[in-house]
Amino acid sequence: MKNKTVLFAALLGVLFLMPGLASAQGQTGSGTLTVTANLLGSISMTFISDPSGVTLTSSGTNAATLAFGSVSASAAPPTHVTETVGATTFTVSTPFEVAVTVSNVTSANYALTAEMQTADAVNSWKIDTFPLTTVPAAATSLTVTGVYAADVVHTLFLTIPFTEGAAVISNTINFVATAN
Amino acid sequence: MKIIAFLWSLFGLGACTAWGQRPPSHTAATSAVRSQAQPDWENASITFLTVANGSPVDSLRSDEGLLNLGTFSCFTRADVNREEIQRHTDSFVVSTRFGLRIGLSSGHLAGTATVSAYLRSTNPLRTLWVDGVRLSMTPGIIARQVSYGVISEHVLKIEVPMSMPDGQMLDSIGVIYTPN
Repeated sequence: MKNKTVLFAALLGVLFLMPGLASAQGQTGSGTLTVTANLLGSISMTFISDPSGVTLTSSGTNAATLAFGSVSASAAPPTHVTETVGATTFTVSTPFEVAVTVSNVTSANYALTAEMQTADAVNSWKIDTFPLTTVPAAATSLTVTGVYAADVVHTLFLTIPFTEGAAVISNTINFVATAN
Repeated sequence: MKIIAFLWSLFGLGACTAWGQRPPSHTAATSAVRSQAQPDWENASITFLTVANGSPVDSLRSDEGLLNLGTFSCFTRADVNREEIQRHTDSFVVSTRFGLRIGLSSGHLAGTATVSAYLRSTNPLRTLWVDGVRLSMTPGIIARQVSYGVISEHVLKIEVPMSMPDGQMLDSIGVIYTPN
């Protein structure tokens, strides 16, 4: 009985203090942070080394270098370079890959063009079956139904006449992918 | 016996009550201490701020801020808008920083608060995190010991699917602070 009385007194005290405790802990504040941004659609293209082709310098980027190495009509071609010798010319070729990725654009596929940046009156350049043009002429169309997010294999062909002396052959090919 | 116990309890409560009352002879300094112990929460506010390496934040009104991520795309060069972009297979994550400060309009407040965040509206196309906590309509704790008057820095991440259409993005994040 004595214990019950003490318990009752303690309970009464707790009940008396409770409103104050609840008042202190129930205080909260709030704010609102509005986040705004303008999302643009974008398209990205990267060059990738093909397992059967020469290794690209800076593979996986949009500015790669493809080096055939030293080639001649009378010597075996470097690894991953295919050489065919004709009556007056020989051609070296190697595959490479192009990957085009699109983001936040409603597009089923893409068109891909290529164009040499420097005229070459001696040698002939070709990708797949398409002879490359040189600026300012219209770029060469490689495909109009490119598949996104796929490593699409293309092959670069360089045809060199027998009459050409030993030289460093170089050019820059500009690729443009356009979302359809 | 009952009466004695009850009187003892009343005496205890009376002592507590008297203890909590300020004697009339207290000085102004004592009054300031009392202000810290029992802050005027109705005048507390939350301020959103720009932090170093973070996107700009405009304080619109009390307890409201606007975080502007500017224009970006999946393939934007990192840090162009003080944001970082991480690309994944089917989405990308843009992250930035912002600051917040909880304080009173007048007076200094000691102690800390627990800060929670939630989405005021859902957008099934994208996902937001603050300090690694994925936001939903239910508040989630993003920080447990935020000191009053001190700018705390937080990281906002937004995952944007590549399939999402381009255009204006608008999200509203509610922030709640509760005194510890």
